[in-house]
Amino acid sequence: MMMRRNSRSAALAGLALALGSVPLRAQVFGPAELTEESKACIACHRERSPALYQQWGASKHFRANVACIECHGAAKSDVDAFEHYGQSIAILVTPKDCSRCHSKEVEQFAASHHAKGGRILGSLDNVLAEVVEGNRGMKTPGHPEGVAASAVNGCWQCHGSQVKVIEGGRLDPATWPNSGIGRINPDGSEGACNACHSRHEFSAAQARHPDTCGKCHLGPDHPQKEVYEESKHGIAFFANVERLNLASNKWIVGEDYWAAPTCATCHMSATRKQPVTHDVGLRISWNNRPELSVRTDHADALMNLAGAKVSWQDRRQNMKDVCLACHDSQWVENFYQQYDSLIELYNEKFARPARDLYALARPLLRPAQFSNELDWSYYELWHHEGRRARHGAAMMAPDYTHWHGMYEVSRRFYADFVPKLEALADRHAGDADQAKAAAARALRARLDEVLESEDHRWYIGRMPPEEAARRKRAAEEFKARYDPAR
Amino acid sequence: MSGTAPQGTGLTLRDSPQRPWPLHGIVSWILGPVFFGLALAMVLPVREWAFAAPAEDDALVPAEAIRNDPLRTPMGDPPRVRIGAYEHACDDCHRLFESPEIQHRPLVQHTHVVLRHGMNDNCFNCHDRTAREKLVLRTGELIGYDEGWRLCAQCHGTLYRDWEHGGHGKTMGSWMAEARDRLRCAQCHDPHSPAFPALTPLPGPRTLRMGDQAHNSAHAPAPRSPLRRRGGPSQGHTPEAHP
Repeated sequence: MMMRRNSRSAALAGLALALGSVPLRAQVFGPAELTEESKACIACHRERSPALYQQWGASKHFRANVACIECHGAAKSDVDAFEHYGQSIAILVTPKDCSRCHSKEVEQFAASHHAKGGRILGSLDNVLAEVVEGNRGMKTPGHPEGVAASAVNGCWQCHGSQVKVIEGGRLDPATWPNSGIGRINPDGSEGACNACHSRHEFSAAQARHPDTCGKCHLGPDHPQKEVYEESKHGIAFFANVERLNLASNKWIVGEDYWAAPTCATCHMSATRKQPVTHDVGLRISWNNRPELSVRTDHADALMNLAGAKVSWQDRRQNMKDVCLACHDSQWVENFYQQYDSLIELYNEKFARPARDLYALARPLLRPAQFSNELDWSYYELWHHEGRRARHGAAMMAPDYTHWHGMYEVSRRFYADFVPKLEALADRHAGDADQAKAAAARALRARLDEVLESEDHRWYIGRMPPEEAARRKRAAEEFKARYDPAR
Repeated sequence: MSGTAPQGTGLTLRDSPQRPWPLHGIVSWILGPVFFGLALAMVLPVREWAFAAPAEDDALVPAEAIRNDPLRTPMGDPPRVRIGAYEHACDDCHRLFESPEIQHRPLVQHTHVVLRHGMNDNCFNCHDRTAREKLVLRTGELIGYDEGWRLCAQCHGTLYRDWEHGGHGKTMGSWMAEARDRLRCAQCHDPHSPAFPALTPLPGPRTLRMGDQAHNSAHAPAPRSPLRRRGGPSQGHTPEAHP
């Protein structure tokens, strides 16, 4: 207990120190004045790229005398360095470059799932974009064997490309421009700070705006942005955006703003007890990305991230600390019961049986993934519809939880997935291939088991009589309420 | 026959020194060592030496506590520092920023450095102000980070002499000069806070008389003497545990 209090007060002292040293930082870190090298860059670039120059002029970097060469200057030995009017520079500014001054932020970011976004390149999603959607049509010096334009323009722009350097320090056009948050850089660092901190103004207000997250966290498979907009949080944001003090250096919920939370408020930004963190996973207790939701510490362990040591309970406590800036504790506890129940419902009623049944159906299907209609049914069940339901519940958007979520999940399950499985099992029941016939029998048996379970027996017309009576009574009460003449 | 006291009873024999029982000598020779052995067993922790042969997996000192590697890994040459999750050369940053002539200021980077080195409290006593990947002697000579001991020798002359002759510091490998490796200053001392940290003593060695102290201390205070130890609750290893 004592230890905890000590560590907390140490953390507070550290925070105070960090905040207190912010004004110092410019003096300590920035050059005393613009360097001669940077002045030389500016002499041309203020004419050649006037908007870039103006953006930089409005930035805090300008005020700290951090100019062109401080970020773009490169050692001659760097793989992407090239000679530019007598100076050795590189185009790409990586997290490693930023960490020279913003070390704490890079350290936290490097431990996050955000920084690992580029590792998707070998996953199922990428098979979809590279093989199913795309072909090897885009041939570049860095990818002479060709790469799919659908991956280059799609997946990689959010997840991050593996940047390749071609002759003369130039960057391969398949891999750059790219500001994907998990970009794999030539210097070995992972990530791109400008995914959120857009160059060359690096505006905190812009980074804190939900639209920044909305570049990637939207759409049919993970509509966090739309979910947020539907929720009370989003409503409050749009009504009060000009009162949110978004550009403030210190930005603590309850002290510097209170009218609404943005994405950053809950997932990253400072509270009165917690400092800001650039590891976005440290406040979430469910990872709703996979087929079945898992706990976030488990997800970190699978990716060998340091965060595996932070239990999901601690992360939930971190999030509750944010909630409590506006809500009371009973509200928060009850919300988490509602949220957990939805995850449990989705996992156990649909995701787990669907995963089992799909695995049993695989031997009866064409081997290539996405070459069967059933592959698409199952994929959309968890990857699109299932995630919509879970994200909707996580961030309190009832329409996404229900109509875009659980409604679609159940429609997919009962009106598409199960009928396809039944047809598949029937088709192969008398298969000459003994292995296939056996697989069909196993599928049929598990299917029967699932449909006769308590969750699904209504579908085969075997709802227990007491449940049927309860529902009939409720229907009559409903009618009586709206038709008093009866 | 009936009127005479029975001959050959022990009592009679014992009470009559004139007529020693013929087997007396042999019995004494057998009983003597037996009693002596029993007496010894009461004094010695019999079970210990009888059964508790040190097992391979029961080392008194845990293997990880025995370290022959240096306590610290000082900066190599050229120096590299891990800042913000990545390895940097000093010049990555310091070529950009001139260091001001300030001796005492809160560090924004290198925050793990705690400068507690007495009067030697100016960074640029040891670090060169412009050539950041070098150290600097009082003469102005620049030296590499792998020669840091030359810096220490400037002030700590007597300790340096002792170290040169093997009286201070740890010698690794062999006493033979050609196989000897003497740890250098910064392999034990943090150059920024050189006072040696308090060490946790390891338990004493396992001996026949003292038994397994690590095991004892987990249950009861370590016995001061083997005699005292016998009065306490059952301790040490049981034969079942060590077949």
